[in-house]
Amino acid sequence: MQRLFAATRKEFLQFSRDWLLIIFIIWLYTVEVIICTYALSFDVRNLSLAVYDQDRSQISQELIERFTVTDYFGETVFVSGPEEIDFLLDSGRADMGILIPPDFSGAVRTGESVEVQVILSGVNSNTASIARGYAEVLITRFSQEAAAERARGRSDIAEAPVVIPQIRIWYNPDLKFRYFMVVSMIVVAGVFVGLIHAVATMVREKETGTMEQLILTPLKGHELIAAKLVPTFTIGLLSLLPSLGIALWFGVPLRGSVLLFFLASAINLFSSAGIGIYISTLSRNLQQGLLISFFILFPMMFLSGTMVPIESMPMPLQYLSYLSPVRYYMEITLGIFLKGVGLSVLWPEFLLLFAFGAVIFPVSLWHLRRGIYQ
Amino acid sequence: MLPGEAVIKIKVLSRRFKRTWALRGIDLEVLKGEVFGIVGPDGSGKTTLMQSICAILDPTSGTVLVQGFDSVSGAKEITSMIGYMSQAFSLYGDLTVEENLEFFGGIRGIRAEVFEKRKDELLEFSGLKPFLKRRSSQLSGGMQKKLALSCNLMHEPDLLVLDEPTLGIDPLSRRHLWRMLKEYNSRGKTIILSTSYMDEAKRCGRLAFLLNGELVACDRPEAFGEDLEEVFASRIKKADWVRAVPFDRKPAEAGFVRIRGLKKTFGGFTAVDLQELTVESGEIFGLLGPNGSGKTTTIKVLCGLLSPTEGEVEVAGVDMAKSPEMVRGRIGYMSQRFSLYLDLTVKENIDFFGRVYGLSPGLLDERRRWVLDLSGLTGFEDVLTGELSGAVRQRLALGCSLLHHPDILFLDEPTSGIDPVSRRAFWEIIRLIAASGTTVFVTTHYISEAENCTRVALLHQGRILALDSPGALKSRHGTDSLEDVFISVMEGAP
Repeated sequence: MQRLFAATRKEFLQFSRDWLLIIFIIWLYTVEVIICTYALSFDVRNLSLAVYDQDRSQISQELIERFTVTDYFGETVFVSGPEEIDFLLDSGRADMGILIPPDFSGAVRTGESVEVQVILSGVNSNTASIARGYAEVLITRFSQEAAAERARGRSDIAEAPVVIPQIRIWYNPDLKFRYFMVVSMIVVAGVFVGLIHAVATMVREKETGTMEQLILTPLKGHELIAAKLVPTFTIGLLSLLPSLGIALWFGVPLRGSVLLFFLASAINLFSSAGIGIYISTLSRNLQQGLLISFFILFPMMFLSGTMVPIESMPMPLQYLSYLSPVRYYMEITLGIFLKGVGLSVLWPEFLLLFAFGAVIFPVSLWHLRRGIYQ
Repeated sequence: MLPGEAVIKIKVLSRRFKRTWALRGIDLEVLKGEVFGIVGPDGSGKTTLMQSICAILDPTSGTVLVQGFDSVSGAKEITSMIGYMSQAFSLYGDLTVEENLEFFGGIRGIRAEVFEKRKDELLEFSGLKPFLKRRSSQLSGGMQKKLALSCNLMHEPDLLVLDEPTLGIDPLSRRHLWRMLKEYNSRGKTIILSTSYMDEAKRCGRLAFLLNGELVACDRPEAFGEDLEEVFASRIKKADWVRAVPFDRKPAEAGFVRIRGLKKTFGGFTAVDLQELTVESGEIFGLLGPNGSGKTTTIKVLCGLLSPTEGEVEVAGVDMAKSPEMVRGRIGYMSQRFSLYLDLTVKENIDFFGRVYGLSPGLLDERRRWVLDLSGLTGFEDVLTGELSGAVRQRLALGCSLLHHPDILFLDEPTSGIDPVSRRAFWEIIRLIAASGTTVFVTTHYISEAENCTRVALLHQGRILALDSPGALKSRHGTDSLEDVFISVMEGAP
């Protein structure tokens, strides 16, 4: 006990003097979350429109307004020829072009078929497909309402039957990608800190030669590792507080138990640090350690559902994703934040996340010992 | 330029790092064709002086002129005509001998035909020709230094500046390196070097003796007196070395070590092959040998940092092949690499190791006072260890490895790079420790230090070539210098 206490004390002292590391960790949990949420937001807003309205009627104006009143479209430029639309799309000053033919209002009034051309910049396929969805919905709704209007005009008795689908989206009714992004960045920060800090603190002992010194003291391998994890846990859990503040500021709902989230984060740090300690047994210096870390971190991230939903991956990769502990932490965090569910639903993920650490720690410890008595 | 003309003119040079003055008012001239030595205790400003000459550091005040170029305004001209080998100068381990030479030739912009000629000369000169295609990481320490020197001679600099060039290499390689230097010097080139070997200092044309950043004396070695070490020691204010060791005497069998048929192989390479060796409690047992002769490997096996491939190793009654962890806490170990935490303070380091060794708070207090005394750090408990000079750190490391009063103390080149006076004090402590019954195993490149051992073993390629007390070895070889014994044994080796 005295040994463990002495080692923990030493780790805290060293940790508290490494200002760069502390700033890096806090940065990951705060500034990085904010930047990534803004930068990587796939929500499509403020698309700029280029409109070539050959009809110039009240009806064509109405159609255009349908677009401009939404948040999805911002700046609108009216042009006087199709080649101008080309130019605006080419130069990236417009994301979508709309061409309204000269006889548009007449056709709408008489109920004739008429084509409105929508041109999209497919440079970012994600944006384009979302914008296309918006355009289709807006134009369809416009024509449905026009048809209904005409029907009303012809006979005052019968309402034209219009089927309007009622879709309800649970958990994230506005389909805000931001919510997902904030949560996902907090998860990523937790995994990064757990893993990298464990690697750095272990490899540093090797690099400076103090590891040999420690091996020859009565300090046991598991005591050393336990002592090294205490600062990781402390900063990893404390940094969650500003992260939670940021999440609230972005309006992310926290429907479940905060305590449960902290528990999940602690288990995640345990598993991530386990991987980190394992990596440290394989590397001779920090450079090697970090290289292996990134080699492992990236697939772990990509297969976790923090970047892309697991459901949209090919089947083999979906199976592979079960090997990424980040997947479980991500599912737990999304569950707690957005769905407000608790242990009764999330226990399998909790168990798997913990199991990951419970397996990797004995393996690392064994490697650590074997590495010494080669 | 005429011979004897000053190549370097230093006027009232001072250099400050934050609040500490590393150099104060140095006035110095180095003549063309000189071998100029810089000596002085650790932290006396030797490296700072050399880096100021090489235009790496700008003076805080004063001027440095190298062949008429000012070290600030003419830095570019200066760097192009000198060769500087720092203590940390490292080769590219993954490159072969030839590729390293090509790289250093390339960055100096040497033309291909000139390069080929110089490469052949240098390979001949350094004896590295047979190892042309070998990766430099696989060369011995001595050969690496020779290669490093060759890389710095590639562009035939008029001025060669070497910071402790022979640090950590064996006497034989040291002799070869000096032969290279003398030969280069004979072509009229100027050489400036720092050293902590007094026999090397004697071979210099003139010596500058630095102390606390000041130039105390600058003269021919003969002018300093017969025993250089004694002269320098008398100039340095002697630290109050601890006379008493607060340890109880060990029982007679505590530090007993026995080796039988020990082999340690790495892949197909046999690093250590020791037939029979017994060391009694309280002995100071020295392991001498060239770089790569298996000294460090032997110590690591005895400590339990490496497991023996075959054979019996018994350390303090523990079978090291079976349960090496049993010996933990009963031995002390100080490696070549500095083994304290530089980001902890002096007191924090002592307390950490003391607590890990399970000392009670009362005992820890007592031993801490002793270690502070020993390292001359009383009153500096809260200084970060990284801010201490090499010699002081080394003393602190020794103290920390003695906190638990080990049965056996292993010291792997404990005095490497430490000034002669500190080295002498170091050995005084080691003798006191041994007198309390602790067995001391020590490796060293300073053959003269081995005189302090009760017995020494001369290792070559993992085998013991000679084993006896220093006195017996000397009389058997009919010489009064252990270094001569070393060289004749090594040169007679297969």
